[in-house]
Amino acid sequence: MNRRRVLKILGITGVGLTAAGVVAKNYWDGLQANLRSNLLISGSAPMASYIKKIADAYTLKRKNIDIVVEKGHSSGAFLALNRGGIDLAVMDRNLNPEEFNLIDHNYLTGIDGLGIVVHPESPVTNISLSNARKIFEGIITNWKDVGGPDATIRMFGRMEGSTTRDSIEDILMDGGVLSRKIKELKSSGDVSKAVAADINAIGYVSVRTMQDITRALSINGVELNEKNLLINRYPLYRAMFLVIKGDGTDSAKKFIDFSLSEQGQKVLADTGMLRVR
Amino acid sequence: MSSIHFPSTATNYVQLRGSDTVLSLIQPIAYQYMTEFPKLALPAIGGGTGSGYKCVMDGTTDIGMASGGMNYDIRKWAEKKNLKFKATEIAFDALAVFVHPSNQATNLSLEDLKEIVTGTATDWQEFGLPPGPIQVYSQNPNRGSYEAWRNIVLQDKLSVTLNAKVMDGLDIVSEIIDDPRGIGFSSPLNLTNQPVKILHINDFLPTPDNIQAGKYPIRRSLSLLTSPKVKPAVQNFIDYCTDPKKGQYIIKTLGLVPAYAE
Repeated sequence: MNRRRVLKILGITGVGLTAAGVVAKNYWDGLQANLRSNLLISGSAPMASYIKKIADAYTLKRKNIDIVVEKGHSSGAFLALNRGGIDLAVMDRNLNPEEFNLIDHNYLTGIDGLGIVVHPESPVTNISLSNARKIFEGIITNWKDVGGPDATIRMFGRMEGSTTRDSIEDILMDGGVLSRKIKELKSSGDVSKAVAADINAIGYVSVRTMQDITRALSINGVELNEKNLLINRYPLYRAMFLVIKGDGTDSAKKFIDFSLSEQGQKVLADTGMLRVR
Repeated sequence: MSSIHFPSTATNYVQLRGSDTVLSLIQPIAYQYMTEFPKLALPAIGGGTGSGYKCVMDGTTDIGMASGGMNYDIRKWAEKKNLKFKATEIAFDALAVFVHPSNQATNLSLEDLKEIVTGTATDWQEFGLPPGPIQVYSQNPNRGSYEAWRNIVLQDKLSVTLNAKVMDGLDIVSEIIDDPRGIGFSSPLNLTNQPVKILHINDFLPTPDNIQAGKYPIRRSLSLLTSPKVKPAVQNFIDYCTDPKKGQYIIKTLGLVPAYAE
């Protein structure tokens, strides 16, 4: 089976990340050397950055494994896994009813969230998911339409290419287009600073980079806290799943065991993700 | 300024996966449990009853959540691999049958309902109502609610009419709000404050009393599934769920019927 070809067919090409200094061509060299084992991982781009951190920790003490992490999408990775193209799929969502099957093993590995933040003294404390969407679409432009004062809403967000922005488009916008009036800033830190300096501001940040100079709004009456993320009640939520076909290849199963171990989960927690093991 | 990394106090984790209906009642129980016992975290996620059975038997979760029984495929898979689990009933739920608010129907017998959803009856006038074609909405067969629906409503018939539109319970609600010809079913939990009309079946509405007494006929069990040998942390949470003063009390306040009376 030419795995590279399978990936190409599925449109998953560019090698996004590598671990332990391994580049893509070395992956194939690795196949030739019997002593080395290798692990080809593909999946959701926002989750791939977490997986890279785990892979770095994993390869620190295991020099004879080559890990390639390719950035793509959950759906493509799931197909590639089931056609034998990759060893491990990283998904940013649960399997849907069409994908559900009795062969694959699918491990909940971590939980991530997004915050809609305002100035700490803003009188608005809660917003519905659909009103939050309408604000970032530019349909709602005044705080008085969402229970605040008569004042123009000033929006702050991230530039194209930001994984936080990608996640907001996926989870919050639901097909809607981000307003051109959102001021696009370089980093999450810049978004927090801008929101903290403006009583009429709103912004979006990932939970891992949220700062206490701003305040997160409750969404649909659900407060953003650890418990509400763990039980999947806070709506701007994303879970990471690692999926293997059947019992998986030896290297894939060991990588999952590591990801769910104390050490692997600590790596996730250090990046701001919530532990699930 | 500092970043808000949630300072987790948990040292032990018990994962729950499966039925979205069971998830919605486990959420407030798990929240309360984590408040009382901050050393335990309870990550919980839906995915359907099928995944609840699958994940508990393949070891990818500690607790599976199931609304209704196993479907045929999963039962065969478990038999073949000789996989076992233990189920603990925590509540009863009904499947409510509902139509557009403009529909004049108020009551159907279980037999009428079977004729409608299997496509034997195709026009509302067959039930003494103003004429108009019937549009059946049904759920994905991987969902736990479908299994209960199959056993109680379809009975000997293999499937719903081929003209049925198949989707998730919540989507059925939003479709029928806009479809005066539609009829569908869902957990009553999905119907709170929704502008749809819930029908009497065999003269009874799916109220908690009618469900508990077994008068309302379309009822299913909501259960937690574990491996046959249960870890203490898992057993402690299950005991909390079945405690009439704790989990069972929360289930009652949600409008569901607890499995254990006080």
